[in-house]
This record gives sequence, structure tokens and C-alpha cells, in this order.
Amino acid sequence: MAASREELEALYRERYLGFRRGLAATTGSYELAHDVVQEAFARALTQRQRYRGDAPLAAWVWGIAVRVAREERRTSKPAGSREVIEAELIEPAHDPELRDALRALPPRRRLIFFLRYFADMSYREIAAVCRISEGTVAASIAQSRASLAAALESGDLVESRLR
Amino acid sequence: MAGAGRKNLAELDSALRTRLLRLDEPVDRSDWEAIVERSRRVVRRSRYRSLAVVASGAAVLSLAFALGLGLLSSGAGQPRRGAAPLRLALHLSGGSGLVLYSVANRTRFLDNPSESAAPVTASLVRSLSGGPFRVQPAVLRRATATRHVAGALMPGDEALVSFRLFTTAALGKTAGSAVLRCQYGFATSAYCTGAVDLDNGLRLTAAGTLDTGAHEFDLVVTSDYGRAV
Repeated sequence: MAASREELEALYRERYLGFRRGLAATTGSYELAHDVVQEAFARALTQRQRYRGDAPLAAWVWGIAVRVAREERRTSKPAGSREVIEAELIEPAHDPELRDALRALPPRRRLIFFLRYFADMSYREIAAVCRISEGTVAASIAQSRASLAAALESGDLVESRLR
Repeated sequence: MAGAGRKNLAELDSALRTRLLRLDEPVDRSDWEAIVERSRRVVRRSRYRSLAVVASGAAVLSLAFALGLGLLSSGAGQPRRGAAPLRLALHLSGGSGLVLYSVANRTRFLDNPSESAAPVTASLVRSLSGGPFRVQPAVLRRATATRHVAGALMPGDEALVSFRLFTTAALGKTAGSAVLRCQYGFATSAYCTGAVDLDNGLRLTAAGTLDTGAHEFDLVVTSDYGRAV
């Protein structure tokens, strides 16, 4: 079951911002993320016969995008740098407390959180991209939300006491 | 723009949702036409990479396609059983190369009459069955008032032969197609040029000399899509 050109175009038009937002968290900039999104969809267009339909189309394109992002890191970072994709807040200066709370999450859990709330992906799509079960995705997100709520709540308390 | 396409944020408590939404949002620069254009470049790039990988002498590439010549009983079906495979090696710069197996499925033959032959001989379309491609008369495109004479190649005769290419001598999985144009020389040799279209999108042009009595021959790849190897 190959992906059609129309399906890819519809996915792109509907999810461009989500892809870019999610990829920005792993590439470090919206500009680079835009380039990765374009390249990923261009490759998806040329390789659409390879899509087997056993995972959501968005997850399949995300797999390509992650590979493109890795290639980008490989060419832009010095040899020996880590190839693990890690999600980070793109505008940390806007909210340093949120940045710290997100950084405190384990890398894998942080990535899943970004895929869910920045790229707006479904559990099924995240499971396909990360090659884990949907149950694990749900558990990871629940843990992240609890951790963030606790971290931000304690920050709010400190802030209110300082006022 | 903020929050566009972020329905999942509704799962979060309002404080966290508000803080996430307060972050800068990427500007929508979606451009599908740019992607279509870029995909064309991706195709060109992957073809070039394919060739570069194959051409790299450092890489131990033994893409062992096999090329043999078989016959199709009716032009476009399966190879005829018992067709003897004939190996064609395509040589690339750097010492590496491809070996393919092929089956001839169409041919045109242009004869060049012997200087001493009777005028009637000039109307003969000679069979290629005695030549290196072992094409049987059933595959030849017949013209009126022709007769096929095996092994009657003359200097200057020309053959245009198309092939289906396979990855193995068993002719199981297809690898693409090829068209070769050969002109026979004064000795038992012919000079051939042709195009090879592989299923992975790579198009090669090749040239070389072959021995008309050989069971295998070699061609040098000269370019892919006009790009020098």
C-alpha cells in the first residue's frame, strides 16, 4: 500500500506547523526545522512506494524526518558529538523555569512529551516513531505531566513566597 | 497562529498549557510546490549517489547482477525455458562494476550485403542466431521477403537489441532493461553502444567491443544521464 501524492500533500498542509515545531525541538532552530521538514517530505514523495501502511502515514514521514535531522546533526556538529536525538525548548529564554522542568525529564520521556504537545502527534504515531507500545507512550506522558506539574508548582510556590 | 494545530494541549492543565502557548511559534512557511521541486532534486541526487557508490573503488561492491541472454517466446512474456544465460559485465571507473543477466525481447537487424554476393542477398535479413546475442528467429521482427541465415554476419551489419535485465542467472527478479546497438566489424567482433535503465532509477550508457562468438562480454559505463562517471 503505497502513499499517494495527494495524501502526502494533505498531511503536509495539515501538519506542517506540528512537524516544524516538533523538529525544532530536536534540531535547535525553527529555520533548520523548516529545512528538515521540506527535505523529509521531498524524500517521502520520492519514496512513497515504500510506505506499507502498517503505521500511520505521519509516523512514517516522521521516521524520515528524524533520519534527516540526524544527518543534519552529523554534518553540522563536530565529530564525536552525540547522535541521539534530544528535544529541547527552542526559546528557553522565554520561560527558564519551564526549560529547567523539561530538561529534568529523562531524554526519551522528554522527546515523547515534545512529540505529543509540540508536534501534536497521536499515541499511535508516537509509538510507531519511537518503536514502543501505545501503552508505554501513555505511561511516559502521564509521568512527564506529573513531573512537570510538580516542578512548576514548586516553582510557583517559591515565586509567590518571594513576592 | 499561536496554538494552531495543537489540540493535544487541551489535555494539560491550564497553567502549563498557557505557558507552552506563550512560547514563540514558528511562522507557517509551508510550500508544497517547493517540496515537489525538491523531490526532483532528491531523485537526481540519489541517482548520482547510487552511481558514486558503485563507482567507488574503495567500497567492496560486488553488485552481482547477472546478465545473460535468453529468449522470450513472444516478445514480452517470461524467458523461454532453457535459454542459455550470457553474462554482461558493466565496468565502472575505480575497478568496480555490475554484472547483469539479460533476456533479449526485441531486435532489429540491418544487413550489409557482401561485395561478392548476388543481388538477391541484399534483401536478406540475416538471423542473429549465430551472433553473440543468440536471438532466435521467433524474436526477430520479420520483414517481407526475408529469409534468415544463421551465422551469416557481415562487416557493417547492425543490430538493435532490447533486453530485460535480471539480478540472477535464474532470471527471477528483474533489474531493469537495456538497449544495445552493435555494428559488426571485419573480424569476429562488434562495437556496441547502449543504454541501461535499472529499476532503482539509475540510467547508464555503456560502450564496448565484443567477440561475436563469446558467451560473455564487457562494456564500459560512460555516463549516467549525461554525467561523466
